[in-house]
Order: sequence, then C-alpha cells, then structure tokens
Amino acid sequence: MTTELNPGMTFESFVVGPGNQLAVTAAQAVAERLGGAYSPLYIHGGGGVGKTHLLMAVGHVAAEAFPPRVVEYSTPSRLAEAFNAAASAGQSEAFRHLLADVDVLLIDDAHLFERRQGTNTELQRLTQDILVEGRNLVLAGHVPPGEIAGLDRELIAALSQGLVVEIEPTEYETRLAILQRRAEGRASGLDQTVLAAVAEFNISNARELIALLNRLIALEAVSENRLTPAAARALLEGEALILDGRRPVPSVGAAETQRDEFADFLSEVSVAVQQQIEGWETDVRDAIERWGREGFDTKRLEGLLTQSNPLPVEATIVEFERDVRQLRTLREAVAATDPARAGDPVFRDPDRVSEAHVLAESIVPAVELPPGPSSAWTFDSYIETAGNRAANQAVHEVVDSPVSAHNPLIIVGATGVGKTHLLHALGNGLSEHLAMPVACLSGQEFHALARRAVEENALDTFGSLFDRAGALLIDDVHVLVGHERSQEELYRIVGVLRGTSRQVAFTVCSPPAEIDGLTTQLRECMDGGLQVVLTSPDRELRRRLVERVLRDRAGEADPELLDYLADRPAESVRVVTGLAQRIVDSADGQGLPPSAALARQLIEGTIPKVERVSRGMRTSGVMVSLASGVKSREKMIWNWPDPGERLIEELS
Amino acid sequence: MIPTRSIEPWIKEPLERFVAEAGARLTLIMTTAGQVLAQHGFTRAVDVMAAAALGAAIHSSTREIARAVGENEFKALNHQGIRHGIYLAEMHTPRGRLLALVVYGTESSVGLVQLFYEDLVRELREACPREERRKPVIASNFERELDESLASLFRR
Amino acid sequence: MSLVNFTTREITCKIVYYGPGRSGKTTNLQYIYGRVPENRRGRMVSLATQTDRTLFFDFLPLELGSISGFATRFQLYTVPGQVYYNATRKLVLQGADGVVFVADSQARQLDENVESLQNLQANLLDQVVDIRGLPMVLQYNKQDLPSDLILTPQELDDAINFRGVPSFPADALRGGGVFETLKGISEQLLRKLSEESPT
Repeated sequence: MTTELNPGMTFESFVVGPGNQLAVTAAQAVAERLGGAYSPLYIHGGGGVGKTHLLMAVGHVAAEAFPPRVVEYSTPSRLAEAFNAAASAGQSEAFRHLLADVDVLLIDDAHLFERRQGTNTELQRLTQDILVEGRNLVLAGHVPPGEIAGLDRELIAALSQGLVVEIEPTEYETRLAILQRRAEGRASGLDQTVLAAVAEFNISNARELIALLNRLIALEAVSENRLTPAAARALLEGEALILDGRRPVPSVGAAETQRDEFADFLSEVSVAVQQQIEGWETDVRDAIERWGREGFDTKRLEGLLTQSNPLPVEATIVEFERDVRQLRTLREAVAATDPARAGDPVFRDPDRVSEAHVLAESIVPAVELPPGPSSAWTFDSYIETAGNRAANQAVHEVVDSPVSAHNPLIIVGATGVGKTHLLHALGNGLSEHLAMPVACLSGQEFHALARRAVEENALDTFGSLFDRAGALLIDDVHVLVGHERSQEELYRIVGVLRGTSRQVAFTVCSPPAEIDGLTTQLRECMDGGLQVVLTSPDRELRRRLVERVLRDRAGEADPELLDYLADRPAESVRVVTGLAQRIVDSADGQGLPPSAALARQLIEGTIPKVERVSRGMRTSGVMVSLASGVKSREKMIWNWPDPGERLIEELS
Repeated sequence: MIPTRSIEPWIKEPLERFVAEAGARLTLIMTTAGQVLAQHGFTRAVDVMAAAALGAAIHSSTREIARAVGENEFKALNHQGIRHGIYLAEMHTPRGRLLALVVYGTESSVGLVQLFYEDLVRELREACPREERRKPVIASNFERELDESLASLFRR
Repeated sequence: MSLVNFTTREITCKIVYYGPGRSGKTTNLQYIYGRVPENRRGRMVSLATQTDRTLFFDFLPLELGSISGFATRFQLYTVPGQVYYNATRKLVLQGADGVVFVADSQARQLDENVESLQNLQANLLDQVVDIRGLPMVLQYNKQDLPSDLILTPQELDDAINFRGVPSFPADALRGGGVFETLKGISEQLLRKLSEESPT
C-alpha cells in the first residue's frame, strides 16, 4: 500500500504564489507542528496546481522530524484494494491496526472516493480514530469534500471539520517563477525574456507549462541562433491554442516563421524521440536498480538495454517481476524450514526459476497441491466454431494475459455444452504459461474438501492448499447452493487470490445474478470480470464432433451421415457424441460402415426387413450383456417407434 | 503467330524484322516516360504497363547514377538470368529519345540482340516521319495518353 | 525496415508521400528541401519525366542529428501518382514506416483520391502489411484554390478519412501546412516506436 515519497517534491522546491499561499502555510503548519493544527487538512484544486507536491512535502518533513513519524501516502483505490484483500483474508482487524500506527496519513485523489461504500465506512471510522488520537490526516482532491459524489453526509462532515483550502489556478508571477526554477534546474541558456513570454500564456497546469518549457529547451539546443521571445511566442501559440481547444492555422509567409519551421520540427522530433527512447530506458533502469538492490541478478533486464531489437520491454519487465516474486516465495518457504539453504544463489537468479523450484521442493516438506486440470481436456481437443468463438477467445486472452485480461472469468452454459472442457483447457494453458501449478476442481470437490476442513478444524491448511496455485478454477459453482459455509470459504479464498494478483475463473449453469441461493458475497466476487456464454452446439460444431467420433472409430466419415446428424438439434455436446457413438456401435454390430441410412433407421425407428442380420437371437431393442447388464436401446431413441408396428414385425 | 503491334505505323516493320532476327521473345518500344509506342509478344495490357513502368524507372535511375559519376548516359543495360536476359537501351530519333526493352531467351544471346539492335535503330531513324509533332502535354491529358496508347495496342 | 537499431544507435524512418497524380507530393518535398539547412539534408533525387511528372520517385534524406544518443535520419520518398505506374509505385512503397497521403482538395478530384487510397491499401496488402497498423496522416493540399472549386477539410475528412488519422490542410506551393504534416507523421511514427515488437 505504501508509495515512496517523491524526493523532488519538497517545500523548498515548491513555488509559492498568491494562489497557493494559504494552502502552503496550512501544509507547513501541519508538517511542523504535527498533531493538532488543522486535522484533517483538505486541499483542493485543478490538475497540476501542486496538490500532490504539497502532500509529499508534508510527508518529507514529518518523516524527517525527530523522532521520525510514520508517514503513509496512498489513494482511494489502493486503500480499497488493501482493505478488501485484508477483509477477505479475514484480517480486517489487522488492516485497521496497520493504519493505527500511522502518524501522518496522506490521501491523494480524494475525489475518487465517490462510490466505494465499504471503504467509505472504514474511512469514516479512520477519520474519527485519527482525530481522537491527535494524529494527522491530509487529503487532496480535485473538488472540496462537499462536491464528491456519493459520499454520505457524515463522512463529508468528518472530512470538512478541519481546514478545507483551495489552490487557485496559477497566475503570471507563479508561472514565471516555476519556469525560472525549472530552467535553472535544467541548466538551459534560455533568456529571461523568453521565459516571460511563456509565462504570459494562461496555462494553469504546471505539468503542461513545464512540457512547453522542455520543448523550448530542446529547440534551443538544436538551433544555431538564440531563441527570441517572438519566436518562442509564435512557436507556443500553436501549442497554447491546442491546449485551449482550437486548431492553429498553418503558418504561411513571415520570414521569421519560415526560418523557424525546420527548427521547430526538429525540436518536436527531439522531444518525441527522447520521450520514447528515454521513457522505456528509464523504466528498465529503474527496474534494474530496484531488483538489483534486493540482491537479484538483473542481467536479463540489462540485456534489454544493449540488444539491437529489444523484446517488448514492458512484457519482459512484467515477466521478470513475476519470476522474482516466485523466487521470493520459494526462498521464504525454504527459509522457514532450513534458513541456511535460503541463501543459495539460485534463489537470486530469475533465469533459474525451475532450478529453484526443484531445490525448494527437495528442502521443504511437500506442501499438498490442490487438484489440477485434467490433461484430457486441452485446447487442442476443443473444437471452435462460430457459436463458441467468443468464449474461446476470452479464454485465450486470459491465458495470454492472466489477471489483466479478465478477472474473474465466468463461463455460463447448460450442462454438457463444453464448459468443463474449456475450463480445464484454460487451466492447462495457464499452468504452462505461468509455469506454476493451477488449482482446477469441480464445485463438488471443493465442497467436499471444505466440509472436511471444517469438521477437522483444519481451515488454515485448507486455505494454504491454494497458496501455491497460480490460479483458481472452479467448475459448476452453482452446486454450492445450499452450502453457505463452503460459499464463505470460497469467497475468502478468492479474495486472497485476487488480492495477490492471481487469476480466478468459474463455470456456472446460469448467470450468477439469476442463481438463487448464492450468497451476496460470492455473487459480488464474480462481478467485475467477464461473463461469456456457451450455447448449445451449433450446426458446425455438431458436424465436427460427429466427424471426430466417426474418424476415430470408423476411420472415415460419410458426408451424408455427417449432414444428417448435424441437422438434428442437440442440447449438449454429450448428446451429440453419444449419438454418434451409438451409431458406430450399431454399425459395428451389423458389420456395416456407418451411413446415413443406418442412422436414420436407428433414430427414426424404421427397421428395414432386408438389412437385419440374423444373430440367432430375438432382439426387441433390449440388449443384454454380462458386462453391463440390461440396456434398453429404446431409451436413447429420439422418436419412439410405434409399438404396433414392431409387434407386427416380430410376428412376421 | 505472335502479334507485333504498333501505334505508329513506321515502327511496325523494323520491329518485326528485329524480333525475327534477334530471336526476341518480348519487346517494347516506348518513350522515356514509359508510354508504349509498339510491342511484341505481350498478350495482356497489364503486363505491358508493368514492364513499361519498370523499364522507364530503371532507365531513369541508371541515368541518375551515370550523372553522379560524371557520365552523360549509359547506352545500354543488360541483365543475364538463367532462362532469360533483359536488354534495355536508349535511342535517339527525330521523335526524341526512345527506349527499347527486350527480353530474350536461351535461343538468342546478348550478342545477337546487340547486333540487330543497331540495325533496328538505324531503320527506325530512317523510317521516322520528319515532321515534329511535338504537342505540349496538357496536365490532365498525361495520364490519359499513357492509358490510351496501351489500349490501342490491344484493340482488336 | 526496422525503425530503431539499438546496437548501432540509429533511428531511420522511411516516410512515403502517396496520392493521386499531381496532388502535390513532389511539391511537399521541394518545399522541405528549400527550408532545411544544407547540413541537415542530402541531395534530393528526382526521377521524373521531361514534363516533370515523377516517373519513379523523389528522394530527400534528412539528417536530424543525434537525439538521446541515437543518430536520427528521416528518408522522404514520393511515388508516381498515375495509375499507369503502379508497378514502380509498389517498389517505392516497400519498407515504408509511415505514409503521408497527399489528397487533392479539388472537388472534381475526389474520385482520384479515393482510388489512390484503395490502391495504397491493395499495394500494402501485397506486402502483407495491414494498413490499419501503419502510421499515416492525411494532407488536404491546394486549400489555396478558390473555395467553389475545393472541398473543406471537414468535408474531406468525412469523405476519405476512414481511419480517423490526423489530417492537415495545406498549400504546398507556398509551404503552408507542409511542416505540420511532417511533424504529424513523425509523431505517429515515434509513438509506434515504443509499441513495436521485432519481427
């Protein structure tokens, strides 16, 4: 939850002007006196006026005071996430205690508290605690507390009971001062008159102002002549107008503008290149520094800086971090058992994760793994057609980008349409992609495990079963209806998984909103992701399923037969393959290849006199075998034959 | 009998003779802008268009290199492949500069082509009408002229 | 063509000016040539007919110097506009990193503009390049002509800006809008830099 304070944002580097004087004074008072003055302090104003800068400045002073205070900087979304994760792990108390230790709580983007009922209640309680105990709460947002949509009156009152102060849009002097300070910081040779010209533009947002300045600095660097105020003005008029919402007319004519056209172009390209190149380079360098500091081997990241065709940078960094996290988990597990071995270099090399796994497994007593996906159901054996394409695609997206694509993923469909197959295929895909075990089990299995855990009072062990899983997939969640305890456990475990950025997927027989008997909690945790529906197999799917059965068993597939069977509507995949199997069985029994005619007889019940092969045994549609007992063929016929007809048949 | 077609009648016979003697499979006579005046061996207008555009382009880029190294121009260019050779050459006529693009197979050779090409140039110069029919090219007509000469070559 | 070479620390962009015949592609380059200081550009090569129609291509190399340690070069090309020269047009289009489509704003040339756009798409398809992924901007040239002869930028946007790419009004003869267009395509190109993955 903690974010480090930006070292550049201090009171010293903050440019004070008439528009923000009051806010700065209040912030300083809070920072220096601590406990007491203005609590809570609420600063509001438009974008780029310096709210975050002030928050951080307060944080710095507080942290560096003697004795140093505990400072926490956060935002509504982070708080909500942390709180939910803790709550679902059954540790809301721990969360509250965590915040209880904080002396100065800084909350940025407070206007984002709008619609979070759960956290808002918590926030209110927090505010009260803080005030009562004389600690400090500083908030910053785009609008004052009274204008935050969705906050209830009590909370608004609580947030407003200290000091609410506005930072007004910057005016000329402040802008000039900001520019001057920045220009100094970048050691640019830009003339004061040029800076003054820029400050004239009515740009309130400090960030945008600085961006304009950067362009000018780049331009100066590449031109032979010094930049004049007129040139700067002309240059920025375009920019400022765009910021103002209007499009500039292409400049035509004036000699000075002509001469600057190319220089202007050059400076823009320079800035663009800088942003792109330095952007990702900075990301990589940051990552190298961070993980290097923690002792991990960063050669994979360093390689990014020197390759001629770098791999997609972001993806590489994300993968690297995932490997590092795995190493950390493994190392911790090993440390708990055999601290000496935890220092093994393999735990610091993200390129040797599999080795680390092996080593860890040999040291740590085998932790029981949750049931995983069946290798019988994979993407290879899943037939995709127009009817299930959307669902299949969504599943693939999850495999490619777990957690970020769709979390949770809910597959809705009647029995036998292929949900289980797809879910297990997802599990297999994820398992391969993440190189981690994936928990994949049916609702029934989950319920059985949960119930046993409750009875044996071993819920902790049950929960830790899913710790090592990279993802959680539950089939037929609706079977948990009527078993609230198990639903509770599921909700808790899902919470932990979501809180630790892991993928969750379910299958259900109907949309969760329509299932009676699901607890509100469980229903809620199925929100926010993606629901895809699997319908009964469409014609193409039926055809291909039948084709597969026929090819596997009879070696070839008669197109007429395929068409005939494909035309018959079917509710589920199972029905289709079952029928196909039956036809092949029947054909085998008669010593004939499967054909449309044969199928027609079987299904529609017409029994031709000619093709009956005598087996010396009367058959009336009832088959008896030692192995499987009595099976009545008629139970699976679509159209019941007219008994009258058959009777006559038998007698003739 | 593979046709030899010509927009302007004075080109037809010299071209036919050249083709027969040099054993050329395909031949184009065109302006330096790629506008085709006569062709032999092509069955489709699109092929002529592509060949003409490419031939003219090759010629113009070669001229550019020549200029860069201080040569006035290169007289001819020859590419030898396994099954075919391509011969691209320039000629001066009273009608202005023209290009010839010749594609020949294994039954001929660059030597043969070069030999009879000299004859072709001489004959064309002689046969060429003397009047200077240099009409200025009006902007909007340029493209139409390119297309029309193509069309008339394949008109039945 | 690879945009960025991290080993040799070079950025090279091939920008092709495309469009129907006589829409002003070569004029764009000529104007740029006239405005760029000598030390920043190479020789402009124009392979043209005697009547000044681009026969093969115009080529103008721009040396932008070292930016963030990367030697940056832009190579501007134009293609012949006439339908007839499609074979050579295809050649010049090969390896293009970005396209500036120069449209003729005259109302009676609208069909030509559309045809040329379709031709662009077809030629790119030949090279197995998806036009939707290619950085592109539109230039509506000849906006200086009498208003009853031309379509406004808004009308042109409606008529031919299918992809909703940035569009720039221009008068290439006098230079209006030429550098804005060039800036526009550069931005599009460089943005793609960070999203690009190697093939």
